[in-house]
Amino acid sequence: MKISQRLFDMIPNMSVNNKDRLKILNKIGDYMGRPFENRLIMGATAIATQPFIDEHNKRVDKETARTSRNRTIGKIIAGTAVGCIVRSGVYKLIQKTTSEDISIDRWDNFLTPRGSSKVSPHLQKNRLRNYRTVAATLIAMFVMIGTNILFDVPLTTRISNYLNKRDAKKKVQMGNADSSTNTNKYITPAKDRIKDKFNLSSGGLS
Amino acid sequence: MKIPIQVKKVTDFIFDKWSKDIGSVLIWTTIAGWVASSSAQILGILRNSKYTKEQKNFMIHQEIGDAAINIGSFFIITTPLKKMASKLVKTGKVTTFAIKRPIRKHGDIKKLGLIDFDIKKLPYFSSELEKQFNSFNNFMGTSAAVLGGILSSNILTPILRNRYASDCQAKKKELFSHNKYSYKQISVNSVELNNISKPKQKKSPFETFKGKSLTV
Repeated sequence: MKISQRLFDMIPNMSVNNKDRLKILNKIGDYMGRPFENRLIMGATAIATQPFIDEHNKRVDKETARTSRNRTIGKIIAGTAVGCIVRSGVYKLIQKTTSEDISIDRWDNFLTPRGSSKVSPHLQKNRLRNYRTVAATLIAMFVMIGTNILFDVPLTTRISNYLNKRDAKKKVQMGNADSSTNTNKYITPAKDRIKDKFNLSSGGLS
Repeated sequence: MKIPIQVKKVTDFIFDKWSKDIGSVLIWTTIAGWVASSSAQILGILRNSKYTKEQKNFMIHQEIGDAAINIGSFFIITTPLKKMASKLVKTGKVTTFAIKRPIRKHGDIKKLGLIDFDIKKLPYFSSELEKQFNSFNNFMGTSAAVLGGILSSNILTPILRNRYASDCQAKKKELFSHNKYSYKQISVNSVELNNISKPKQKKSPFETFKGKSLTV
């Protein structure tokens, strides 16, 4: 325990003393915790790092590295788009169907747990908030098993195939450009020109 | 409208089981999501006819590595980071003026930052203090989760999964070439063995004329 306290003491005590700054921080926390925004942040950082890491993988040949990079780009774009739509949709559905008023069965309390009314009002709000998060996550998980096969995979394949095609085209264009520039720029060295003119062998004058 | 009894039972079950502590269920759903996503992606790679055999081999291992390393790094990086953030807020190591104010008022300010100190267990932990505490705790927890997620899923996992996939690919190549070589060896040896086991028997000079009529 003493060692833990010593380790803990290495972290300086910090405090947010500015009211406006605290407001901003709390807003950031709230914003990053939302399903749509959270998925978007993860997707944006993923597209900034993962393709770079895949492309610079020196343990495989260049073509495999590029193909894997293209598939990663496709996977991130498809995963982020589908994930954002599904998560935010499910979260909104849960918000709209979990009203605290359960006196009569209605659509707006369709998914409200009936047992929540037995909990003390002080705890009810917090537990209902947790329930909404769990219910949204569980429903989103089941929905995403379907959307993974129906949308994610075909979209990933399409995007990666498109990027592979574009890469192949670029490669061909670059190859053509290289060959044309090579023929234009290639100047026979003077020594070789003399050899060609007088039909001399490479061993020297004989 | 009437809500079916099954729906009521399921919602009550979720509420009773997980509304007190959502940590474990979120972890398991995240893991299930990764496994499902990777399985679907592997299917996609297998069905994509535009990849070569070598590329498929690399990318399938990359997907398997992606799910496995994501799960591992989640437990090694993200979860401890989240716990650490929660501990920092709970002990008052990192706090706000709004949380500090009632603590100072009650003379507990020196206890802030002690490892056993828990703001939530204070007798004067009022609903106002709870509101302030929860908001700041939410910011710290979400920031730690996002930071941990970026570090583990977006940096560490791609590096390690690529290493794993390329190692697997190299091993498979080696095994294949070794098999090819040993196959050649076996086939050569078997030919030689056949030759040894069945030596060519010298034909007797009379055998050459067997069945042929001799005309003198």
